[in-house]
Amino acid sequence: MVNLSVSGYTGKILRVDLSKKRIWVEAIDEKTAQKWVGGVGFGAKYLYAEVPPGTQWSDPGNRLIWTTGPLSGTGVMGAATFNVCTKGPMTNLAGSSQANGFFGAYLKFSGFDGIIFEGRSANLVYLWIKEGKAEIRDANHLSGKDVWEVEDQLRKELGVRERDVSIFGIGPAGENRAYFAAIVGDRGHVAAHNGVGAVMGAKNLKAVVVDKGKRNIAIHDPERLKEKIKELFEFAKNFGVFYKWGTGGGFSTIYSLGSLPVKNYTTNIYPEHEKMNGQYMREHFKTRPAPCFLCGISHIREVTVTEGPYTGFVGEEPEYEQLAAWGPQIGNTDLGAVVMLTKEVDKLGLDCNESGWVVGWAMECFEKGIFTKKETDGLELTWGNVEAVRTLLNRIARREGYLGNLLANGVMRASQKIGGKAADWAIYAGKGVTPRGHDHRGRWSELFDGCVTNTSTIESSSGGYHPQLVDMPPVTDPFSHEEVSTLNANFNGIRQFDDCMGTCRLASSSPKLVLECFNAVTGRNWTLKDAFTVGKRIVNQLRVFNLRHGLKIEEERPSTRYGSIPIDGPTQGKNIMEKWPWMVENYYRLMGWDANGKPLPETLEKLDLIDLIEDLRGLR
Amino acid sequence: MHVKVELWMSMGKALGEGFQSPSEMVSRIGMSVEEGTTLKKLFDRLAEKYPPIAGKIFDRKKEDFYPNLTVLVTSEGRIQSFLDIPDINGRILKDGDQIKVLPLYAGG
Repeated sequence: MVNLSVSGYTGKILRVDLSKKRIWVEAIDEKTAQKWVGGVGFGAKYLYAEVPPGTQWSDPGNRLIWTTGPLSGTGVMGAATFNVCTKGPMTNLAGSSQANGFFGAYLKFSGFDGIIFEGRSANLVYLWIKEGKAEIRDANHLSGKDVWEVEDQLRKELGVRERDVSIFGIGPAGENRAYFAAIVGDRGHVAAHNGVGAVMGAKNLKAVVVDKGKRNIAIHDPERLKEKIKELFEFAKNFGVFYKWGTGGGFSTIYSLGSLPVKNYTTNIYPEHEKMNGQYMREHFKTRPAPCFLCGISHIREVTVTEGPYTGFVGEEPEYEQLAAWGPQIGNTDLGAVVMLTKEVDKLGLDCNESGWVVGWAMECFEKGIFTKKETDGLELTWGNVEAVRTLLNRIARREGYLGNLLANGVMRASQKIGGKAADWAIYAGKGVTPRGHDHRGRWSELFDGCVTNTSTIESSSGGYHPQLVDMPPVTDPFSHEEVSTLNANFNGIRQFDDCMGTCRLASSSPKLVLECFNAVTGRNWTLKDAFTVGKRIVNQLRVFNLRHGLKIEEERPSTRYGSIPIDGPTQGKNIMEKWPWMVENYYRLMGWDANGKPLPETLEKLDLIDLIEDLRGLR
Repeated sequence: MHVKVELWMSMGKALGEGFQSPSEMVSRIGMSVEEGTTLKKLFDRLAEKYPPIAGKIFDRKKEDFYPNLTVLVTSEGRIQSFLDIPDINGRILKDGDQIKVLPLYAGG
């Protein structure tokens, strides 16, 4: 095996064939590290090479690719993020999702830059990784258990303390292949998008446990890295409200921007927002820090409810998206109930975003008489009935009853099956992509991004665009069709480069400083232009993958409700659909794609993707 | 002419007289201003009176807002103008306008 000489990598990928119960180690060569960097880059490389067109998400031939990045475990704050790349059920196209916690750093300390799973085990198993070795173990005794129970049970069996290992796995949702099942671990960290947990379930893989490991990661210039970590920390502390109030600190400002989802987008009025935000939680509930690996930003906490019917309930502090899903989206105004539902959805192993859309849609259907107690098996699915929501989530995760099974396929498929007016009430992006937990009719950048993305979630944007962070002119009008479509293309790339790093976007909020950390670790001397090139390469590689796997460009648009015009609130009357075809056409052109959304040969050549030109021939 | 200013800048009670801060996160004030007042003039006036605004929101020396802020103007609850770096000379306020200052990256 050739050793990779670039610092920041172990140079090894762990390969696991679950059908044959075979494990081996593969080297990463210099060219791969240079061209694909890590994280989603490695994911895009292996997914394209190893999952041919015709493979379905649930086939043994699909790959489940977990990858770290060159900054994982280097001391950059919170740099323990890992990326999951696969062909996922929500879109039956490529999907990329990240989870924070400890796993990314521990995996590298145990000797690997990533793990690639293939095949399907005949029985339920888990993978145990320690000191450069791995073992497939029986997990039949974990069948049906929620993710918290799995963590407790495996730690007990292995005789290890809480932070001696990192554990990520699936709950009942993944085992039952709910289409929006997530991979959850380290007590509430989640790789959520595009049903990555359902893919894990289809492989009969219940969990992965990695020892904290003992290896050091080689760093090219430790002194420079130390200096840049300090600068990055200062930047992140002062960027937004996360340091003080967590992501929930943005809840009320998002309301001011007309971007808070209220009752399935039927209104934008939610006066209770000031009692549902991050500050209220930290000032009224009991909290204690629960940081990710070596993170001084520590935006995550454990929380004990001190008010209302759920007083005494202990859970992880809901992040913004959980607050949105289990507060305004379902018409709930009790913050304690949000803590309860957050823990429920994570334990079951569901994506909270799609869960919120699917439950909100079902509630609207109940309100308008499409569903009665017959369809809900007795549940009174009225707005704000949080105990009914808890029951419904459990039924979805286990595919129980008529509604549980219907909703487990996601809101796009459920609404299409019901049809009629109800089909127009579902919130999704046309390819089956789940929007994150906002009302994107007040955040056009993300609505557009979610419709044209190739990663199955935001690809170019991140809380909107902040082009000044990469020395571009700032946004002047986020409700300009021209500006949104143009910026989406021009800004695309840098966030995918971010997702190669193995860092958390909240703790590493300056792309320029992240790049400097990358250079200090690897000894490269890359510029922003180089970083954009890598990011655009990943986007185009996934684009071609998706085109070959059946992407239909007519589906690159929002659902009727998702693209509708707000009837009240700050963004009342704003209409993104007015120039939608022009926006898409302009975006394709600026991305170097033809009118059918196909990357042009010269675009692929420029990105060192010449082999893909031939693959695209023959596609319409 | 009357306008309202709402600062989601976690300044709490640090602003003192005139501002209402129901929580540390948000501070509100209603103000009478002359016809033709621009955003720039309004915030210059506020920054002169309230040092925390001069330190965190409006740089009087540069006559500009600090970077990484979102400033938006709403009228009757609807967004009229939304500027990450405001065109402060161009925006003339109207009676009833509500000006909101938010951290740039608003979470989520």
